[in-house]
Amino acid sequence: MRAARSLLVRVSPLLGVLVFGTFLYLAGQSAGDLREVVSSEISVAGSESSLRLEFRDGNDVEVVFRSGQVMVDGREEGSFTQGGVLDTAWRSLLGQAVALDNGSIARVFQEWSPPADLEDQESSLAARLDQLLEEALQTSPPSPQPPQNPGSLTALDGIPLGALLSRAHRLPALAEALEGLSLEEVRVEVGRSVSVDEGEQVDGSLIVVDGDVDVRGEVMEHLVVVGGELRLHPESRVGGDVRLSHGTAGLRDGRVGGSFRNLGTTDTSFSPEAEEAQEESRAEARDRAADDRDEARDRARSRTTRTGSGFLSPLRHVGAGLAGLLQTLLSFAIISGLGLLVRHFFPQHLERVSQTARHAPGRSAMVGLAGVVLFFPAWVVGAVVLAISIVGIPLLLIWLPALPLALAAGGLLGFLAVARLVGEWVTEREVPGLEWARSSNEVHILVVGVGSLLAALAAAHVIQMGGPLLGFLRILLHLLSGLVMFGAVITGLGAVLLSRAGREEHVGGSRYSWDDDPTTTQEA
Amino acid sequence: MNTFLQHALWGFGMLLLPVAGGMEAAAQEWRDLSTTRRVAGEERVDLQVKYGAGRIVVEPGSADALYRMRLRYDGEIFQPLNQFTDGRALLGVETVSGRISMRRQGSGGEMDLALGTAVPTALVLEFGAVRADLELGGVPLESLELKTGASESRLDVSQANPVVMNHARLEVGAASFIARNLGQLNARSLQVEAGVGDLKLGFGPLLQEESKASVRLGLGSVELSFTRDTGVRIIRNTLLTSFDSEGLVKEGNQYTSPNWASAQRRITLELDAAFGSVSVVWDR
Repeated sequence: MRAARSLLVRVSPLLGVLVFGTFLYLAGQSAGDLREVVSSEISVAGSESSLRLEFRDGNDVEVVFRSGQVMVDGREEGSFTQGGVLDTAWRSLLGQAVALDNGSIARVFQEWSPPADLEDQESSLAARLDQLLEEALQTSPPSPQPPQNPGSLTALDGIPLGALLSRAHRLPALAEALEGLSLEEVRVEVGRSVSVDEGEQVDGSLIVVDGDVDVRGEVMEHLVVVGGELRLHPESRVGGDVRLSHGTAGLRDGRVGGSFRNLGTTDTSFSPEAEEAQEESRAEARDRAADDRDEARDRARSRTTRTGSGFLSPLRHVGAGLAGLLQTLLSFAIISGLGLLVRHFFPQHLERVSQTARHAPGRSAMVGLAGVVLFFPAWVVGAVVLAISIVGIPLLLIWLPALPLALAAGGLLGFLAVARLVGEWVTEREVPGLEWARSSNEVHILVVGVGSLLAALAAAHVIQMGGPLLGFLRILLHLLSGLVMFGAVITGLGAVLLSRAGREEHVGGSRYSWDDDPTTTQEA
Repeated sequence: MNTFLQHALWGFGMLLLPVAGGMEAAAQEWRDLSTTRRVAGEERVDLQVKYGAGRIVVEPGSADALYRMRLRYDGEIFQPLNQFTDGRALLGVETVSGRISMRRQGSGGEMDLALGTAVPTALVLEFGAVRADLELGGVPLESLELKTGASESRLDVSQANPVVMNHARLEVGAASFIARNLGQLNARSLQVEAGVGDLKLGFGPLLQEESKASVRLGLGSVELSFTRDTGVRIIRNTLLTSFDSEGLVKEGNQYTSPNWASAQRRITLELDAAFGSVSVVWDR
């Protein structure tokens, strides 16, 4: 119905025809005193109140009070004062209707009378509304008034109104196709193909919905095709515009006096045939895409094979190794940067975690391992405990992301603490090439430590540049790197847990004084 | 578990905004909608209900109506679903497309749905984070599908389903779920899938002579209750789950009630649980 209303508004020459036909249709459906209401919908809000009744014959009526305007079936009937007498009376009526069943609803609306104390403007609106409701609910609506445009009535002859209304899904496309066209005289065909043979002439315009059009003769005014194939042969003549919507132009030739507009090449409206065709088209597209992927894969495989056995093979190894090395350097830069931030903002926490890992590395590693193993069950059990009660569910939203984030933060802090220990050890050894790094400089210690932990990984990538002959060594270095990283994270995480994230000094179950720590004393 | 995750995440998503609700103090636009659809020659109806957050009550209605729905919702965030075409109905609320708000959206929303008692109905209920009170006694249900997210739901079938139901499926996400008189659903088979939560499944008197049921639980507790005259056989397939099989005789992984051979109505229940506890109790 909404689409039909849209069409009525847009297409003025057909307006009278459709209104007239709809009235005739409604008139033919009547039975009994009141029309049978099969569905009612009453909506009330602060700024809006509406009623929608659907009748057994499939028609409906909708009355909306919204933002000071009264709309009946989408038409503006007048204005009202929000909170005024009419608004209050209307809401009261809806309130009564909510409590009733459908038979009584029809009676209530039919018997409704506007309040007597309305002002002139609202009084006439209320009277009109009352009349509209009664007409809508009556089984025999009053005789339809002739449409205002007499020219539209002349176009009624031969229009298959029922067939057109039964294709509601085509109405929006038809409305779009007819937009701006002046239709003095029109021939409408719905659901069948039309041929305009050579020498034949269509006076006025020709509109075809869901049918093919084959033109060899002449259409004096406009030609509109919705949902079909249009064939304009060389000898065809169209005096006005040609509009094609949701159809195909099988042949486009001949002479067109106006413009040719194709409003959509693909039929996207719903119909079983169209749906089937679209599904076939999608299946074909999927097959083509799969073929293309296979072909591309074959090409890539072929290219890989050629490259692998060609003279560019060494360059490929160098490129891969270089990329890995760059990745490692980037990781080094990021972790070192984070380490410096932690060192700057939480120096004591980092120091305490580091000392805990130094004094109890075995216990730290065991605690870290246990922490990782128990993390997931603890996470799930906590989630369950919170989830089984509605009250706990909001906390669940915090719990779910917070624990993994806490684990990641703990792992990072622990890794940095271990890196700091490694850095201390390396800088004290005066390793060749690292003479610049001073053991008294915290930044140097941290950077050297992180670099040392990543050294095996960097070396693996450097080895990779040497080609496949050193592959075994590269794998060993990768394994070593993985073990080092894992050990550092686990030990560090355990130290974080033991020292309560660096807030306390715990070593081997006994506390020790920060001031008593020999390393700290030495540094001081 | 996938089903649980989907619904749990949906429910959590619905609850995400309430947590941050205090950040916005804009007024809510409460709307009331009442709709009724009478029986107009339908021989059966497919009814789907979607409700994301709030409180929902479903109960039997009158014989001359297919359904009657009363909604109270925040019009700034939700829009009502009230569609009926060719015997297929879609009711409830959905979020307004493209609208994102930080205000409390679940609080205060209500839906009352009365189901007709004359026309056989295939019922699908999809809830998010809701408090649901469902009474389906006397409603002619051809099939039942209940999907809940993070909810607190109660289901009762106080009167017998007048039509035989082929299959009933209850998918419970992270929830507290209490069901009574499931046997009155008149279902040939019943499937319960629970993600995380606390479930109480009361079967009550059975209507089918031979019923089949399956209960799958991810994590939580389940209490299964039967009437004394019901023949019960439970096929257990559990992991890290305690099982209190009071009154049942164990044989392998099967637990059978002593009256199995003589019982007029029997139920075979497959129990699949990962973590938690399962207990069997008998109605007095």
